[in-house]
Amino acid sequence: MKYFSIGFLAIALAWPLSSSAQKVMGLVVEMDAKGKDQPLAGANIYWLGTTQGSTTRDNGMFLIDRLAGNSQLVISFVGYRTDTIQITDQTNIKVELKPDLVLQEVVVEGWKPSTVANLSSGINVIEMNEKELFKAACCNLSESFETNPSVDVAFTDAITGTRQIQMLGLSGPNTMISLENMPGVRGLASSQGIQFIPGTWINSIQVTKGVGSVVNGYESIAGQINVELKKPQESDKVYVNGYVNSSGRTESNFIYTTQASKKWATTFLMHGSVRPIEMDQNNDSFLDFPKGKQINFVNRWVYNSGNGWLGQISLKYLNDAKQGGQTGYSPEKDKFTTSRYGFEINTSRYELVGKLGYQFAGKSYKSFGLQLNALQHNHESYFGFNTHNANEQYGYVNFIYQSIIGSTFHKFKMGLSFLYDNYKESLGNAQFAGAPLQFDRTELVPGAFYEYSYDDLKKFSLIAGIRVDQHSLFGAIITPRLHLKYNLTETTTLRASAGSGTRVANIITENSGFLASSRVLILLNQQTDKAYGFKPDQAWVYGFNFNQEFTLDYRPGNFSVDYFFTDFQNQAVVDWDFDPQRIKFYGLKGKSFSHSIQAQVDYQIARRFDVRLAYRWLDVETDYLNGRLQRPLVPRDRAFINLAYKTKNNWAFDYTVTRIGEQRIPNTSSNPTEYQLKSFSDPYILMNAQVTKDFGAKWSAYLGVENVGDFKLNNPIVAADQPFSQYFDSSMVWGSVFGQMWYAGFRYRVK
Amino acid sequence: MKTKIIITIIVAMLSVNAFAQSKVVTASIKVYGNCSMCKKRIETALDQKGIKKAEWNPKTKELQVVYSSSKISEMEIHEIVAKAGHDTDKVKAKEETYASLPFCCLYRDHEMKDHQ
Repeated sequence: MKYFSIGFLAIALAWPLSSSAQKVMGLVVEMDAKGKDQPLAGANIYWLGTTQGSTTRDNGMFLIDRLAGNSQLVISFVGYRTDTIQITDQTNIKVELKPDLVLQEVVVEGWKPSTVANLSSGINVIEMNEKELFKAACCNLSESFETNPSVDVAFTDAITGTRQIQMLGLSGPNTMISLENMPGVRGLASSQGIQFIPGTWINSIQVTKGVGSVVNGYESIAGQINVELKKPQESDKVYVNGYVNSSGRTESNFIYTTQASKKWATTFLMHGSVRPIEMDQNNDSFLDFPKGKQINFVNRWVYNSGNGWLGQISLKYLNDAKQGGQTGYSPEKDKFTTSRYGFEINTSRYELVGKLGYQFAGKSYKSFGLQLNALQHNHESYFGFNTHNANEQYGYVNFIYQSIIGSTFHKFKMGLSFLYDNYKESLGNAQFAGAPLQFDRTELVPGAFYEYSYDDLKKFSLIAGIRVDQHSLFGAIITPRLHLKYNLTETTTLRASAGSGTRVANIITENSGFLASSRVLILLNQQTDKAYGFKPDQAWVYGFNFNQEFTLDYRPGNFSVDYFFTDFQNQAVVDWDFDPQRIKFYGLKGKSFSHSIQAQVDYQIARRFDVRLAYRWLDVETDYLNGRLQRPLVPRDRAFINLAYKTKNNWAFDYTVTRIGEQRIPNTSSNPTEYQLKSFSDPYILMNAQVTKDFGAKWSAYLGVENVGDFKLNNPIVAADQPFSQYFDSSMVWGSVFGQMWYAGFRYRVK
Repeated sequence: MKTKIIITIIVAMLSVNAFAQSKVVTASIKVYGNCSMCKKRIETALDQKGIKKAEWNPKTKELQVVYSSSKISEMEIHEIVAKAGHDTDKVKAKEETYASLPFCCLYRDHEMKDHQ
């Protein structure tokens, strides 16, 4: 009985207690311009006439203890009209605050522009998002493809540290690199340009193999790489990154985004990097990497009128200086002398980019857009006695109108473009008194395009485009392109593409490696008196792709195989073989082609553990003066493994192994024996590893090793001991110059 | 002889596999939430030993979960989800947890209060 009464008492006491401890839960919102609720954080909540209160959290929610005898709840927030509401027995309420008109300007409203219609679904695009890009934390666009088996990155020579990409076995400029869907890395930037896009600025990358869309011009042949930078609409407020590696490179990146007014938002992107010290691991008296510094700056503004108009303006500035060659080289003392070999490359670039778009109200399929780009690019360089100076002024306008025909199954894009490109380029030798070779040209290219796309939203889609451009130097350029996609089943997709691409090769810039050698430039079999004497490179590209998604043991995977065939109709052929003391350029006579077959499997072998396996086989051949040969310094095949594991407490481990197959090395058999190279390189393995740890939402740190196996070429430079002899050549580099390299860095971000 | 041993091993492995398979259960659970953020929250919370797959559909509010019943029970799964702030048809999330959800995940009906 006693026990019972105690138990009863306990219940009797606990009952009113639990009832008084009961809380009122609520949500405080405001209505935005589109009529959608947005949370109000930091609003004050209190019982009328008391100091018993609370504030709302970031999500607009509050919890407040009930107060006996008080049912008037006050909700107040600076800039809004205060509300008093009657609470009865509800436990879950919602209050909408109205802005106080006098203080309305205080209100900062977040907005996102509507996403631009994506018509590319018919084209096989590989999207690389930030998560993917973090797998290789270093440093600029040239390193971003470490986890992408479709894109290769190779050094152009052993002394400047310049890297170029290869797709389908074709050198960098055959791939169009666009920045936010406008031609980006081209012209004089095609040699150094991918190193001018810091990795931390990149939001995402889209890789398309084969011909792309006609909307962005006629230039893409091997593929298209589109780079999206961090945007005011979706960037972190503050993003700071610091990086240092064992080759002496230090860099810092700073990104700041702010909503300047209701309609304007801006982002500042800043990059500074420096490699102040000399490093020569292989003791060939040449620096493995040049010393250098880079300052890179972008300020971009986005405008959203709220009634369909969208605008963008970006200002860009770049200054990059590199200096290298033999250890201890000093430009003041040694420039243009034979005491020490050295080089300098100085680049400065100013750029203005503008975009203006209008989306018709209530018709999400109908819009027009205007793209504008103007830039000035200055390049000054010398390598030993070779001098190469160039200046480019470029202007580009592209107008795109898109809508539908009858229904949204049939869409089209059409438009007009105009390109102005002015080059002043000179190639000289300080040892000879003669005037330098001058290659100046001005291109004026008006163009028009039409692209039709059909998508039945179930099985079949088609994109057919054509563009016609009238080139002021080379006449009409007609570019047809076709993409087909067919879904055999829900998980099986077949794709095919065919089309042509044309581009004027900037032969010196694109093959700048030969400047860092004693090779003499010879131009043969010239086809015109324009530019370098050659008609534009032109090729047909055909591609097939099979893609199968699968689920194995409840985890998703993907398997794909593709085949691409590139058939050059014309090409400025680069001949490294005819004579090791010459580099010859001549118009293609005969065939030049590339076959590429690639298979890839992606699978999650355990939760949070992704595996990617890929294998690619290449056959790239050209008819040279002495017959058909494999293109030099293109790996015959490549095998690739990437393992990515993430623990639940945010440790991420990435490991990449690449086996690069044998490459044909240009013929050196006429050199003295000590300056001869093998005709084929050995296959070799490169491994990279990285560990990343996220500390909460703001901080993360990473530590990695490139080239874990410490593979490096012993003698990457021919005649390194005689840099002023006719045998000197640093351009025949088929592997890593620098061995194992450690790096570490951090990221700090505020959303 | 050698092939026979290999076949025996394969058969043995298959039967072990089949044994393990028999304990794998696929269940469909009603889980409340709204957006892709909720999806991530729910699926991340269910990244636990014994759970092979967890996929939540924001439209149907159905959570499809594949788990091995020897390692985890269905009720435990309900509790894990509720602990992450999302109500299921069997377990309700605590108020304090619910109030901390991101804005877009506030799935409960809030009674609209007009100002007076």
